[in-house]
Amino acid sequence: MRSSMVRCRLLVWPRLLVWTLTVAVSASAAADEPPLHERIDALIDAAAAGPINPQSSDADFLRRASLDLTGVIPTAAQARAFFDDPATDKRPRLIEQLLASPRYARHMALSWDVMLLERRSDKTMKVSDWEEYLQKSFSENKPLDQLFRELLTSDGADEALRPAARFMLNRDCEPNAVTRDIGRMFFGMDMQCAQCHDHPLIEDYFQADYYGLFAFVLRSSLFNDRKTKLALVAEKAEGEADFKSVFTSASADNVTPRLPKGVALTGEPTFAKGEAYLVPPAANVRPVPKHSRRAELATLLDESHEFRRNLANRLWAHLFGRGLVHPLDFHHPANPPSHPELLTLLADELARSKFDAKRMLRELALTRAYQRSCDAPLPTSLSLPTAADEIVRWELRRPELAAKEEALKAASDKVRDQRKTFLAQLESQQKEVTALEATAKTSGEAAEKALAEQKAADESLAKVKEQSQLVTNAALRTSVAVKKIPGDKVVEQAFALLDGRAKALAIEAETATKAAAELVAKNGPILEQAKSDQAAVAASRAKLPLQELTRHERAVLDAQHKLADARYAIAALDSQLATAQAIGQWQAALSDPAQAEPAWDSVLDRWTVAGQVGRLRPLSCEQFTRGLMQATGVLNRQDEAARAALEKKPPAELTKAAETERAGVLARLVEQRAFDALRKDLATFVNLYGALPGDDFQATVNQALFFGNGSQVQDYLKPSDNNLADRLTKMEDPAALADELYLSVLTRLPTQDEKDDLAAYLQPRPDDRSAAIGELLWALVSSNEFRFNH
Amino acid sequence: MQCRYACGDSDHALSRRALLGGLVGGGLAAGLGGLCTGTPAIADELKASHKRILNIFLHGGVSQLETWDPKPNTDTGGPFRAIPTSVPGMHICELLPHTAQQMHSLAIVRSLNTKNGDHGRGTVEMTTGRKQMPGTEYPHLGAVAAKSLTPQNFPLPGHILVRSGGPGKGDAAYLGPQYDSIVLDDGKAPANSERPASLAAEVDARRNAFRMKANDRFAGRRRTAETDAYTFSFDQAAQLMQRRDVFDVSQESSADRDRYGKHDFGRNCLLARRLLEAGVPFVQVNHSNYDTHFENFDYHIEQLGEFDLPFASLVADLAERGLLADTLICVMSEFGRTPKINARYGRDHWGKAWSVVLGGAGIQPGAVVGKTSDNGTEVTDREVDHGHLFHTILRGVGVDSKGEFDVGGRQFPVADPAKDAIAELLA
Repeated sequence: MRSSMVRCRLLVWPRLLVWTLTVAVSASAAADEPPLHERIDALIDAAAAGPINPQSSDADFLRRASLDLTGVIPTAAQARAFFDDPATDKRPRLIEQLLASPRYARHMALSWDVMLLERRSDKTMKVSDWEEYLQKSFSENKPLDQLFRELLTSDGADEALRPAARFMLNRDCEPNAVTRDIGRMFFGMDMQCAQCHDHPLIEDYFQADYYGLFAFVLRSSLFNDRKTKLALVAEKAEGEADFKSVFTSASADNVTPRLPKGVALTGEPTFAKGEAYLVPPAANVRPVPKHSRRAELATLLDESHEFRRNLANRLWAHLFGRGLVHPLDFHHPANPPSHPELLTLLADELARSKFDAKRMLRELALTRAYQRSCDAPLPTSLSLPTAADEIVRWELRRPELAAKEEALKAASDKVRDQRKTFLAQLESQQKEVTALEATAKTSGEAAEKALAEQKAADESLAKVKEQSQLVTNAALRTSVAVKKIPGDKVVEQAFALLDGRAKALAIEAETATKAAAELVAKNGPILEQAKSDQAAVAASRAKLPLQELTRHERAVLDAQHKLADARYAIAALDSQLATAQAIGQWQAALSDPAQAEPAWDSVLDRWTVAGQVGRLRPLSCEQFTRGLMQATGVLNRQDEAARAALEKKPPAELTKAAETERAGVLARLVEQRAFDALRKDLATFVNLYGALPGDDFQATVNQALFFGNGSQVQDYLKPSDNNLADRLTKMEDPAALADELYLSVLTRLPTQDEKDDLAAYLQPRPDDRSAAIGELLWALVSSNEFRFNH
Repeated sequence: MQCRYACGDSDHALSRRALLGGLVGGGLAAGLGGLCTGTPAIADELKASHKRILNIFLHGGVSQLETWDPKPNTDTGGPFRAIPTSVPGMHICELLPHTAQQMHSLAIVRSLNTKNGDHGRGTVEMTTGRKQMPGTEYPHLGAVAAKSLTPQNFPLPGHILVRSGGPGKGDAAYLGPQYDSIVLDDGKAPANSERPASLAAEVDARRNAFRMKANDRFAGRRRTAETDAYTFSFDQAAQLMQRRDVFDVSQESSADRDRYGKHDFGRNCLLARRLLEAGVPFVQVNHSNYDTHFENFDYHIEQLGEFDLPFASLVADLAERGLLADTLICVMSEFGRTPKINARYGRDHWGKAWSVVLGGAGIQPGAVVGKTSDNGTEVTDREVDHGHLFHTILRGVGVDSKGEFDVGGRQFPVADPAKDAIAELLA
């Protein structure tokens, strides 16, 4: 069973995730290369089967970019200014402004909090510290790899990085929980099922993969400091991962720490007994090892192919509402990316830009693909080629792709064979080391024995010498007494006894000295032998080509990544053919509306996944709530209150800021205060609307009841303090009122029909006009157009 | 090599796939109900049967010795007698005389070993059927039931918790907020289900008409299953508000209200009957104050004295009204209580050998599964835990507990794949 598992793994190895990016491509990033966003669009355009939707309206773009980059919709004033701006570069300028806004960091912090902690609570630290840490990370545009490293390495003891420890602490540092979520969130692979057996549904996720990652974290545990009452992360210097399948007889002991589908941790340092810790374990003491496996994992992140691809995919999903690989947690060969070359490009660019999140989001937002309209194209307006022609056109590409796959398969097989040969050689070398170790163990034991003998001999010699000295001294003193008290028999007798004993002891001491010297002479070669055996082991170990091993491993991984890319390219071609076929099915069904409609929906779905049509996607809970606050004027009111308070009583942070920085500092402080003031409101919505990323969209009856009858929404809609309802109530002209309402809520001007409807709604209600306006406002904030990002 | 260890045989795989089809359909329809938007055959089948679950949660940890597994005249037995029940040979504690007369509709599992004595952990593990793991949340039984059993276009919530104390909201975890429990605190109607006084019905209708007109216009741009689901949630809210009387126990006859008792638990049981009659797929009723570290016997006289009659009435009524064939009943707790009686005449937390009661849909009536030792200190036959129980409950109402939920393209096993149903308990 074990062997069949191994075989099965060898078969699927070549289909590992992709790493097409060669050093050559990477180095060719010359100055004349087109900007990233153009290269992205070129790849999407080239992969399009069927028409590409036109660009979105300014209104849709403004709303979409504001929601995706800052988490809120624009105000009516911002919308007017944007619409009136005739400049052709107003979209890139807007993207720049949004990325510079304090709300960018807030939105990213909120999104990543949900992603990393999945709306779980814990009491390990102040939530605001964690929020501030994330917000600061994004506001300083901390490289994403650094952020992830901090999540792994922070043990909570260092004040500055304490919040980062929440990733571990929130999971009680429980190694299985941590392994699963590092697998998902760092590498895009949910291997949870592989904890107890090879994944039953994903043939590429093995129990060995799970335990390779597990081996990095199993030495870590939760430590509650009794004195400070702080939860901290402890780590031991020992402990190995073993596993046994609950379904098969597969098992392994001492699993080497290994990145998922990546390199193994080689050459871990070994320590003499008692030397492995900076702080050794003891009762109520948090152990800190000299060599931390968690820290090792952190240093390996950068070179992980899967880590880069996962981050690139998540950033893409942040703006497009769906990953190139989807679901986000399931990167594996049977789940190919929709645009393989694009994912590889993004992963590479991310690494090349040193994991610069802002740069990636900027480039993605600049693409035509991002700015594409999500309106369904009208079937009648399209002139589509026949499906048969399309299929021929795509099939023409197949021979080239197949040849490439074959060549890469051969290349991959070759490096795998090379590694195999190398491993065989390594094994014989390792055997040599093992043999030398055995010899060294024997001679070492002999040496220890000899040393023990020597020590015993030295000890007895010292003892005899001491006795001899004592008795000689006593004899000497007695001889004085003999002289001074002549004729005293007792004294004379005593002297004779002592003198005799002293002489005997002197002889004993001499013998013991000789024996000790002989022992030293005898043991010399034994100790020498042990020493030279040890040296032989060390020399032989040093000769083990571990770097060579790493080189082979990397070569194999690299070849596999290239091969996987070639296979993904074929999968993408199949997907394009499927789209062409779906178009054909729709064309064939045109005469029968009952069949044509689902056929058309299926075509539309395929075009949306392919990025040819923009995606209509629900707002996240936070976007929805804060969008509602913005639309109704709640956010603005809090901003103004915060600004007034800060101007009246400026904190040191503001007064000490340099003149040029002051506006930025003020904006950040205002945002923070306004956010804090509305924290409770947001929590109410999260309780009802808070889904997790990747969940299916759900609209619940609880939500609708709350939205329709709950006091919180009703409060937002009541006129007060120059909020939207208040402003609208003061407007006499129904047309102006309609403009303000639609701009504030839906970021667009109303159509004539909508203006007429609004006027007709208000016309019979002169006596309760304010209530009627509240109803209209409610109708728009509860509409689909408001609930979705378009 | 696709290693489908968990679902070996092909028949099983087939039915699972058929079921999954339904589940996926439900997902695509984004909230138009649980199972029934997939294959019509399955939808019809489930609609016809309308399976439901009633879970009574005795919060604090009820004593198995004072209820379902009495050990009179032993060192651990305490002062109460065992009495015969309507099932020949089956005895339960004398504190449950009314329930004893309904045991022919129920079954006892006397061999639970849940290896846990922590309230929080017990609550989670018993209601999710999984071992609690940091960083992982599993859906509550009610969420799984609502997702699997709610008929299409059902106007009421699928997962209802009636509580006056005891555990709070039942979490749907990855199944999504649609399947979180709707909580009826102290038997009141769901939060926000009453139109505010300031909002007249015709005004509400007008603003909704304006909303729908806006939606129709937007549908001209793009319409998806998700926009439909959002629109539908407002329709569902309107329907629920119209049927708000379902939550109003005062509409039951005064005779019934007297029979069930004027206390919270009695009223909540009657409300549960009303909800089950209305077809709600999952109802949980909590009953509290079983954490009897002191004066265990006095407290059990008091608590079970409150529990016995309304529970027995509910079982009898469901049977009489023909609902029992489609309604699975479970009486659980976070754990049982120690056989050893402590110095304060109390019993402490104990998960090593205790009992739950099941009955109704899919359950062998009158069955007794498992045994404990003579003085109840260990399980001697057919040891099971929360995982087995979870499978059994779902199987009882016809849900393939070895299947998977498809959530956003990710597969989640319906129940712990390492466990299975207690086969001999299934009818």
